[in-house]
Amino acid sequence: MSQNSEEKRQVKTLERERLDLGRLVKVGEAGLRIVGDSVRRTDDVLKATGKLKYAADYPQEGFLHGKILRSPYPHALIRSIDVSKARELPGVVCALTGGDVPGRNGFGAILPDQPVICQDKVRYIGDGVALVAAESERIAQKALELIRVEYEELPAVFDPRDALAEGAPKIHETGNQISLDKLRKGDVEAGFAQADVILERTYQVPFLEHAYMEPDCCWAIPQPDGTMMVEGPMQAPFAVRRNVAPVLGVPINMVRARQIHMGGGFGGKEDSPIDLCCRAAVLAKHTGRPVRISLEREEVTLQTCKRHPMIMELKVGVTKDGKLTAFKSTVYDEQGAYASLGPKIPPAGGSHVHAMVMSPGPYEIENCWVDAYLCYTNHPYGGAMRGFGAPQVHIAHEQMMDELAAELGMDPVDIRRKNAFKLGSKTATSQVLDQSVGLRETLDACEERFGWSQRSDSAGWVDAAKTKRRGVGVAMGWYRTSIGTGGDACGANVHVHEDGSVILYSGITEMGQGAFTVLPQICAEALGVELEDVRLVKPDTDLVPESGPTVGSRSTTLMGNAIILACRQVRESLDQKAAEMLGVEPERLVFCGRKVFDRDNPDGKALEFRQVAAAAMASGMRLIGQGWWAPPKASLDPETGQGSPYFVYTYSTHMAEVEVDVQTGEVTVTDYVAAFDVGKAINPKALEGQIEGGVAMGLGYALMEKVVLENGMPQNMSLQNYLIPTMLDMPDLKPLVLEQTNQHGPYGAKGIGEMPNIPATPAVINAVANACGGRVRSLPANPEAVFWAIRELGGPPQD
Amino acid sequence: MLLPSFTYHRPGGLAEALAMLDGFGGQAKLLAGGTDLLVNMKHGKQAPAQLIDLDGLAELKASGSRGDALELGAGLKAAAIAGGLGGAAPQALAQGAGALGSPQVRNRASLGGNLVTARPAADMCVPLLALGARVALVSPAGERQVDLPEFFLGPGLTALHPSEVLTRVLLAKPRPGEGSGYGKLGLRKALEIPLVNVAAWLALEADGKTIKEARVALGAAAPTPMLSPGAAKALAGATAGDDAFAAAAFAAAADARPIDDHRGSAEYRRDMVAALTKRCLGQALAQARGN
Ligand SMILES: Cc1cc2nc3c(=O)[nH]c(=O)nc-3n(C[C@H](O)[C@H](O)[C@H](O)COP(=O)(O)OP(=O)(O)OC[C@H]3O[C@@H](n4cnc5c(N)ncnc54)[C@H](O)[C@@H]3O)c2cc1C
Repeated sequence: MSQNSEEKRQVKTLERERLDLGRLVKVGEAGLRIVGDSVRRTDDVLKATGKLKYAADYPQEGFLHGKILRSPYPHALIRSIDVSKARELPGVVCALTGGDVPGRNGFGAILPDQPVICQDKVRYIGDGVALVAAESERIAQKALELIRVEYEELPAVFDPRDALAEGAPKIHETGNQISLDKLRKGDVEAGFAQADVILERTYQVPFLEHAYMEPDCCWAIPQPDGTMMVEGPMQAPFAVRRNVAPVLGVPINMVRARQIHMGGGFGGKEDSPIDLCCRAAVLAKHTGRPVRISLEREEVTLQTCKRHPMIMELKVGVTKDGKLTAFKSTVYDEQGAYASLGPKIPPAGGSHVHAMVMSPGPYEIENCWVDAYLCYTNHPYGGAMRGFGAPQVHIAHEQMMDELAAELGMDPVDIRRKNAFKLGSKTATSQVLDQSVGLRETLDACEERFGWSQRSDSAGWVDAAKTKRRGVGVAMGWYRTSIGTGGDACGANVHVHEDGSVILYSGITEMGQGAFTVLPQICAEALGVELEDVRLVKPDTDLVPESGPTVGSRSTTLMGNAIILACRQVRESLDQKAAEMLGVEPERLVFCGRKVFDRDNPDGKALEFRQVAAAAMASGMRLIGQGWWAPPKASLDPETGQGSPYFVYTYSTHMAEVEVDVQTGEVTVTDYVAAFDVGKAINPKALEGQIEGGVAMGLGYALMEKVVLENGMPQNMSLQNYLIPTMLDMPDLKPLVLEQTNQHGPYGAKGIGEMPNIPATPAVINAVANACGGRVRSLPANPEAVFWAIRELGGPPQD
Repeated sequence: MLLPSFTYHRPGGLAEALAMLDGFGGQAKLLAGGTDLLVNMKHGKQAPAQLIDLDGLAELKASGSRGDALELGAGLKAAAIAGGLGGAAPQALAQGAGALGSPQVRNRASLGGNLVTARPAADMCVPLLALGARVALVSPAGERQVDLPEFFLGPGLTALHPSEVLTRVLLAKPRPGEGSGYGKLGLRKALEIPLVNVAAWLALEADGKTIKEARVALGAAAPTPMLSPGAAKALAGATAGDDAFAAAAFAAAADARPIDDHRGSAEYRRDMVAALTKRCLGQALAQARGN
């Protein structure tokens, strides 16, 4: 985190749009003590001292080591597999092929279309064709070399448009098109007729690697009662359990999934642990012994999901004074070999539909038309990655806004202000935004802090020798909280003990984002105890209630509400008991800082929280609460893409200043301001951490990141050549946090995990274009791409 | 990936190291900072049974001048060289060492290791080539000195004999009227192997204008770090300044033989050779003129 961050961070509560805050949130009822405070992370000492154990740090005695033989071809039939030599190697305990999977030979976050062990066909380089378990990793690796596979290569498809063409090689029996989703609002042709300027542009983004620091690792341990326990870093233990059970052919209650602290996930560890745990479990079932699979960095690149590449063809109309009249887009969303998290879970779950819904941007546009294709190819597969389809489409609409502004001779800030959502706006899906819409406020705050007008005036040459030009860029964004499926919900259990201590059971995982700090903060606030009174039980499907996955910027909001509801149940007993003890009405009680007292007589008699808890327990009252919270119902018409897919959105504006070396194309991001409407910052410092990390990822997307694929084979498999930004590449970042209360959120909060990543990429790209005139529409804007973009113009502007 | 097993040796002095190296007859590898060797061993590219650690040898860590020559011990760390060695390190070399890897890597990486690994764009090799350095190679039979252009034979390939230790790098001591500069182009600002890198050195005549002699070295432009003969020719005798530097840049780009790969096209790399050449010469001239 940057120096003097306390000083730099600004948190500002906006005037509330509405004060009837629903049944959940009673902001201001009692002054908040723990919520809103930048308490230290509950795991920081363990991390800083190296005591925190990641999966790879766990002892390995007694474990077998699993390895996966992967296909060297992007598309081929398997003619035969001979594992006999591998089985004979001393130290090898089993070598399995497709027929050996005890249950369903398929897994997947949404559709089980990915074989645990491919039997007849491989669909990408990295597909698993055999599994080996051996006494050591070295032996397992050797055994892989002894397996003979005969393949018959098939023609492969690497472009989604080719995959859709008639006669294209069929990757799955169901065909290459997974879906064509449509959004239809108003009359787009009529909208173009009203436009004074119409621009058509194509934007393209590549596959991205999450580059989480910790390579995947997991294990399966058969239990004496026949249960299979799987453990590892994972974002979605319930999804892991949901897949491992049918693969083993056992009911769900015979699988136990436990999360180990993650060294980063970014959406990637929603998918990959499903893959690894299914495979480890099959090996453990066969051998009756614990089996561990740990991937090398290169294996992570080969095997696990990536951010979906997209080709986005936009046509947008605008009037002379900058009002958007029509938005039309065709999106080719490349799924790669397997469905993963791409396809739709009705009404609006899945990354593809999410991308479609977000694609016209946070702007009021009467007429919208989107055709969004999702198709299989023989590339690695696309999964969740910080923004779930939103970063891609923001890169398109935010560049388009700047291109339109340039065409109109308008300031990029003005065209945004003219069209940005406000309270009561209708989105492209005709959802009316009836609360918590702080988008314009983020633009105003950003503009002021960044000094937009002075800075845009001083854009141009930096040095007398005319090698560098400075420029500024702006981008706006919106992102949902929750996942838009019919079944999105969170459960939490809260147990209060007679000494006042508390256990919180939650299935939300920790991957560095701070859930294990923020959720106990909410629990402590809701009960009126101190943070250290709350112990969190880590995600374990045998212990915690179903909580869904830790994705979609949903955790603080959905789980926070579930925790508050669970606390309320316990509070009923405590309120009753304390009312008796103090002789006041329960409504007048305040629980705060381990004290219970009369609101109307704060200096009078106060009880200790533990006294009340002990008394309640001694009288047989319930001190166990179970909270369950589901967001307001989502809707999306499957034909027109109209409805209310997500119940609330976070809004943001970013402004970047860059210097472009016009002779080499190198870009340096020199300054950065990012403003967010987050509803309520439960822990401002943790939130700032999300902002810094998210912006860094967005900057990498803009300037350097790309999984280079040649005939389906990744060329940059390690972090030596898949480059992500370092500290030196990061600008001095100034986060601005605005709070426009979310009526449906705990203390007014909404999601923040993904939002910071989203406008960062187009803000940087727009700044590059502003500086040097060259616009890179196919990312990344690495030095060479910027260099050619300048060349294409015939050189940099001379002014 | 785990390191393959090996036996680790820690000689007390250079003579003992040489004797060990000789004794193991090709089974052994010299270990300095390990930032190349251990990485290669992890990747299974090398699997020596014996490692002889040179890191403790004070004889390899010295630097100093002898007459007109500057001698740098092969065991010097990039971090020390980047720090300037108390003003002794030529500018381009200090810049190159400072651009290598990250602080952690610079604290481990040695000068000798960088030269023996002989990557086509190594951050210390390219400046040393422009500075006209030689290396001293010592074996039980004695010492020989090899000029760098003869030392680099290919990527990872050098004139070092298996029984030899690279003990010192020898350079002419920087004099007034001389200067050098270094430039590196990459996708990010640290931990990046250059896409293209260039180093330049020049010496001015007493008039402070005419170039007496100059060398331009190019990285990632050929299988080894290379000198541009065209640039040297364009500069010798010319008046220092934009015109001469443009001509040298043009000549350097013509001499470069870069490849196309996923990190960049040959065409772009060639253009960058020219751009960086101009800049490095500019730096060198500024230093030569004492500003
Ligand atoms: C993360 C990372 C980033 C890096 N970034 C860069 C970079 O930006 N630029 C760059 O140029 N390099 C970079 N490198 C490569 C490496 O750090 C350098 O080449 C370094 O100078 C090697 O020195 P060393 O002391 O670690 O060599 P070692 O790995 O110890 O040895 C390398 C080779 O040289 C031999 N050797 C070492 N010393 C002697 C000697 N005195 N006599 C004879 N043979 C000897 C060894 O036997 C071995 O074959 C990077 C490496 C890593 C791991």
